[in-house]
Parts: sequence; C-alpha cells; structure tokens
Amino acid sequence: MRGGFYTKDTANNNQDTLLTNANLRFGVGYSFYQQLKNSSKFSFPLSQDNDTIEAIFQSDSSSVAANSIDTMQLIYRRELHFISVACGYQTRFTLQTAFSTNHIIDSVLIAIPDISNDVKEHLKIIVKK
Amino acid sequence: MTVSPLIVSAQESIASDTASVCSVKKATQKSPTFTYVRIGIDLSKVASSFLQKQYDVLEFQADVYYKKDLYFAAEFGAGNSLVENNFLTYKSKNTFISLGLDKTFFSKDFRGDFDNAFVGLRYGVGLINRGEASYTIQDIIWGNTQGRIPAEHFIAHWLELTGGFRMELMKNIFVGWNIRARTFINPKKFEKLPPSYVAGYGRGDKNSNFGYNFYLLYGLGKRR
Repeated sequence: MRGGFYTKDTANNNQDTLLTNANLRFGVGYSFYQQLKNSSKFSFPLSQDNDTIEAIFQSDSSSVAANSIDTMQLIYRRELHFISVACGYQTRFTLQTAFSTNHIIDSVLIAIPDISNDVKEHLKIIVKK
Repeated sequence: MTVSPLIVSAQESIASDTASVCSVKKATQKSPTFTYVRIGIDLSKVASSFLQKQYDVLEFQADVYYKKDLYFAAEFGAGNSLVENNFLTYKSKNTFISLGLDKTFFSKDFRGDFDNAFVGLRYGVGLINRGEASYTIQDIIWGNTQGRIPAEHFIAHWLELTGGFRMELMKNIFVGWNIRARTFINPKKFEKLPPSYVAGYGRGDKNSNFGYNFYLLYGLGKRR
C-alpha cells in the first residue's frame, strides 16, 4: 500500500508536505518502521492474515511524547488470488475504512481502495499544520 | 437338331449382359474398411514419468485404417501429478480420451503399406480430480498465512492439431512420433487452482500448449 502526507491550504486543498524526521511503525509488535526524512511518501504491506492492521505515526523520531504520536487503523477486504503453481497465492486488498487518533493527524482519506502492484497512491494522511 | 440362330443370339446376348453386370459390380465393390488396427504405448511418457517426480502418466494410442488416406485415431490413458513446494502442496489425478482423424500425405507403395506421415485433429476430454491443496503465503512483516483450498472435480475439454510419422520396423511392429498443439475449450474452470499436469494434455495451468509423443505400436488385422 502506498500513501502520502498532506496539509490543507487556505483554500482547503491538499498540499504535499515534507516530513523532516518522522517514522511510520508497523508489523507484528511494530517491529518494522519506515523512516521519513524530508519525504512525503510512504509504503508498507498490509497483513494477509487479518482484515485490519494498526500503524504508528511518530512525527518526530527523536520523541516518544504521547502528543507527537498517532495510531492509525486500516480495515480492508482480502481476496485470495492464484499466481502460479510455482509461486502459489497472493492476497489482493480493498481498503474499506481508515481512521486515526488526532494528535498530529487531522484525517486519513482512502484515495484508491483497490491495492495492486502499481504506483498509485492509495492513502492520504492529512496532518495538522 | 439344330438350334435356332435366334435362341443362340439371345443366349449370347444374355451371357454378355451378365458379364457386363458382373464387371460393373466388381468395379463399384467397396474396399474393405477397418481391417487393420494399430495399438501402442507412448514410450516418452514412460521415460519422463520415471525421470521426474512431478507426474506419472501412461498414454496409449490406437488407430484403425478407414479408407484411402484416412485413419480413425484415439488416445487414452491416465496420470497423477504432485505439486510440493514452499508455497503450495496438492495432488491431482485424471483419465482422458481423445478422438479424431488422421490424414496421410503419401500414397501406398504396396498393398498393406502403412508407413506414412500425417496430420490430424482431435477432441479430448479429461476427468480430473484435484485433491485438497494447502498453501502458504510468506510474510516476514505480519507473519505467514496458511490455508486450504477444497478438492475439486473437473471435466476438461480440449482441441488438438497433431502431425507425425509412422514407420513399420518389423512385420506389424511400428514406431512413430507425434507433435501436438492443444488448447482448452473451457479454461475458466481452472482459475481457482488448476491441476498441475493433465494426462493427455500437459500442464494444467496453460490454456494452450505443445506436446510430443513417441509411440511403439503393434498392428493387427488384414492388410488391404
């Protein structure tokens, strides 16, 4: 799944926003993370064994203050898809609901629900200014 | 006693008519059909079954000379296949029959000459039993996923274009080869999980494919 960080401008349009030093944590026990240094884009896989996952957005990688961390939850539908006899199966996902706590994140929007192997942006995370 | 010339003439006329009728009957008498049949085994499948573990297949062929340059032909057999890797494990088995015609290229050099090259068409049907499959999707981030796909029965239909050669090695012992181009008529049946190998067709996950056979055959019957 791919996504991007945005802020709202005065006209209420979504503008790309670069995060200077943030982390996005995910996986079992949040043991994997993606470092976001001067980047507005992120990507991480969804679980093929569950219909929901949680990810933690840490706006400042050097701080664990509660008001600088948000938890994001994604709910989706899974569909098993046969690849080949040699490779077995893969899971195709369709995002259904996305929400988060609101210390730093204003809202989470599903831009494209169907997640496939392309370069489109599926999720938009709007952060507060 | 003298025979009237009219009676003699009538008798000669009857004899000549009878001879004409006989010769006409002889000219239109049909050549005997279905007098010679060959039946054999595909040695290439015996060898390939022995050399690898993915499938075991026995395939046979029979053809019967019809007339002129036409043979009725049939292939039949059965097989098992196994998929066993880190992502997928399941077995399948099937029986099949394919029926069709072969048309030879060359005329016979002598009566009872069955050496020839040919092309042919087949319609094939396979009864397939694909066993329950277990799959694993590996994922180091969220953990592996495992599951099962229920067993399924299929009837597969396919069309074949074939060509080949037959040669008589010794009296009534033939060898020959075929190459085949096949296509499933109902490929959508296998979208969920295809049988890995279908005896008589080839790889079950291919909507169309090419194949070959090498036959050893025995002939029976009267050569006409």
